[in-house]
Amino acid sequence: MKLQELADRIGLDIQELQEMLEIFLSSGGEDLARLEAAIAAGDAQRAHEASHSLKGSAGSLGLDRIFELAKAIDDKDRQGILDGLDAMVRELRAEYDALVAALRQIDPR
Amino acid sequence: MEKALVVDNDKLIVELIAGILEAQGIAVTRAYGGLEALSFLKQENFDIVFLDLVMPRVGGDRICKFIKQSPRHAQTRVVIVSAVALEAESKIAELKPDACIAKAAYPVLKENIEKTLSFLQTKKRGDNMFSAHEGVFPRQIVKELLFAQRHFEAILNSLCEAVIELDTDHMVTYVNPSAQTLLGKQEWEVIGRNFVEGFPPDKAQEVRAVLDDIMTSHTKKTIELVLNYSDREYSLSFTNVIRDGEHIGTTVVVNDLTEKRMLEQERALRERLTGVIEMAGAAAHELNQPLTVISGHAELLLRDAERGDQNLVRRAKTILEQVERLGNLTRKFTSIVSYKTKECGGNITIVDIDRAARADGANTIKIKGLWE
Repeated sequence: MKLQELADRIGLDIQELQEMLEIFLSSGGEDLARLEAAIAAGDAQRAHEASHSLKGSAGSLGLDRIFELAKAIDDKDRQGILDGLDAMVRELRAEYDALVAALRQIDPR
Repeated sequence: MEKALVVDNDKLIVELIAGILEAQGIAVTRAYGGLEALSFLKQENFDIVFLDLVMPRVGGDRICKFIKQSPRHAQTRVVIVSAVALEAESKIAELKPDACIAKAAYPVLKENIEKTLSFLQTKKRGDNMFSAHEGVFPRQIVKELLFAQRHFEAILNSLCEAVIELDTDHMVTYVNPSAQTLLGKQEWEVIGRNFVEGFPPDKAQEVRAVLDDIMTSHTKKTIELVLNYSDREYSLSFTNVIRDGEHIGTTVVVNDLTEKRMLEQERALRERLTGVIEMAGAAAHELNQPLTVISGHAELLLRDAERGDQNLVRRAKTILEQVERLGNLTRKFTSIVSYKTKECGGNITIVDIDRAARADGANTIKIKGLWE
């Protein structure tokens, strides 16, 4: 993931983007963990809340792939459908981890 | 614009908006929920407030009403920033904010905020709402969800029971119109206040004890509390709100029992009066017969005595028998323990003294024989 490209696209400088991404990773990480737990527990209502929150945050930062995946999951769990979401949630986790890795590359902590 | 308050339960959105404002030289205070926003607004003045509409507990709609009704914030501009800006357009318009911005990806959001700021520089408060919705389209599903939410709001609003919602610190987060009437306060005066502290000290202790009790329960629990003060009687029903085994708040349903109690007392009094009136009828009816016999025999006694008749003793005995009968009646009157009636002809109902009197004849008043 090229963070500079993303920064240019949404009109933030790289440092601002980094700060925003840190916030996103913190709240988004919680949302993702809640989503995974809710799907494992078969709790569609909680899954929906988590995917909805993740969708909103990713959308505002222009994180398109995470936004699309969260939206696709949200469209299902909102209707109480949890079947067939596993693959999408795994992909979402991979995208999230890639973002963490990209951020750590610039700012190793 | 110098001072701004940014309110959203999504920290990322708060930071994004704060960053845009700070770049314009505006000092930003951040609030991550409705209650936190209220506590800032009660202490400070702001030139502009950016409000998210949908937040858990206290939503942006109520914060907006608070600002609009508060003389302290007469100069404050309100900008609603919402993910449901398009779908909730009519509801937002009712709130009369100065501007409304749809939540969107950062570049669009930034452009819309900057546009709004420059627009508000030239417009007075109370002018038509400025809307910035570029790049956003209404969604049917959101409209339906909002409709459902308004439906439930309408139900709560029409309840005659006062409904109050508290968070885990016992802060009021919701009051329906009946609760506002009962408390004699406006919604914005109540929200964010500690529920316990509204009561007189001794009652506050009772309320706190119930709330502490209910908070420790991990399953659904309801506790009823009846409070008497200021010549009124209230019933409070506390129920914990549990989510995943965690206590997340309490709902309190309050009923003013004073009117109901007064009606009950009135009805009881009316019943007693009816009983008394019918009892008077029964007494007159039952006493009439022996009195007729007594007066007849007294007349005959007088006539026989004038003639020097031997029937004197028999007549005197009859009189005594009738007096005894009257004595029995008065004994029954004093033993009435229930309310039994019988028809007495001509659609008149009187008390059935024999059925209404206590069987063991307690409270007997003995009539002493005149001759004993």
